[in-house]
Amino acid sequence: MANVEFEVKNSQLKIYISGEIDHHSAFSIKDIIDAQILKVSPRTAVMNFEKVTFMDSSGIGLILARYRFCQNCGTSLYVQGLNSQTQKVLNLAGIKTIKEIIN
Amino acid sequence: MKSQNFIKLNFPSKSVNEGFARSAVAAFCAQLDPTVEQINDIKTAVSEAVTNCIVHGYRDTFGIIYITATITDNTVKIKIADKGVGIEDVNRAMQPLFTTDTAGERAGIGFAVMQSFMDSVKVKSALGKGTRVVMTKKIKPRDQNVITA
Repeated sequence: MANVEFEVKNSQLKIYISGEIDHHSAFSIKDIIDAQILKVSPRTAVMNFEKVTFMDSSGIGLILARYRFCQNCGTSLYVQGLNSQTQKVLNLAGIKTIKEIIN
Repeated sequence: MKSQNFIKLNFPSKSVNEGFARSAVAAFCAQLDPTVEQINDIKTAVSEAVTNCIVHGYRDTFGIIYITATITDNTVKIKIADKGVGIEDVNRAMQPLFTTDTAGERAGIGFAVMQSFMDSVKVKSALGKGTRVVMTKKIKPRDQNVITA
């Protein structure tokens, strides 16, 4: 089970994901996230993983597909709030184009 | 003498069961007193293997996923099998970033995750018969230097 909440401030869309990200839950939140990006059309979008308790490679697919989606919308995508487990999975994908930002 | 313990789980290939499968195997492994990181490694590897059964093995259908986890001394061996379509070229399927997904939502690193997070991963597959993944991980006993009152 994963949930997603949004916050918009100064043309920045914050995407707060919580719960466990797997193939099942990623499928249920991806369209909600894309719809929100289309609706807000922000300059930057930040996916926040602070409240994600588990993530497998479906999380990487979720990030990469959103990254491509954002590129088409002219939005820069950032990822933040990774813990040791989510970071370990992300490291395997060798993601370098998406920068992590720290508040 | 070797001490041994095992569990068997059979369940339909519904994606909602992914969370159940990894949590159940992780709970079984708890008796080895693993670290949080080791438990997360096992959960992630199980999640990848079960997802493969659902997304690939039983692509256009539903079938049963068979999990057996066996603990022998300090090592856990996890078998995850389906009776689905099978993999034509296992070596190719195990290449990082190889994916048959055209929607772009799958990263293609499921096997890479299993190989990185477990000590060994073996894959056996036959077209039309199914695929079996066998993974092992040794959980070294932690230092017994905690003084209990």
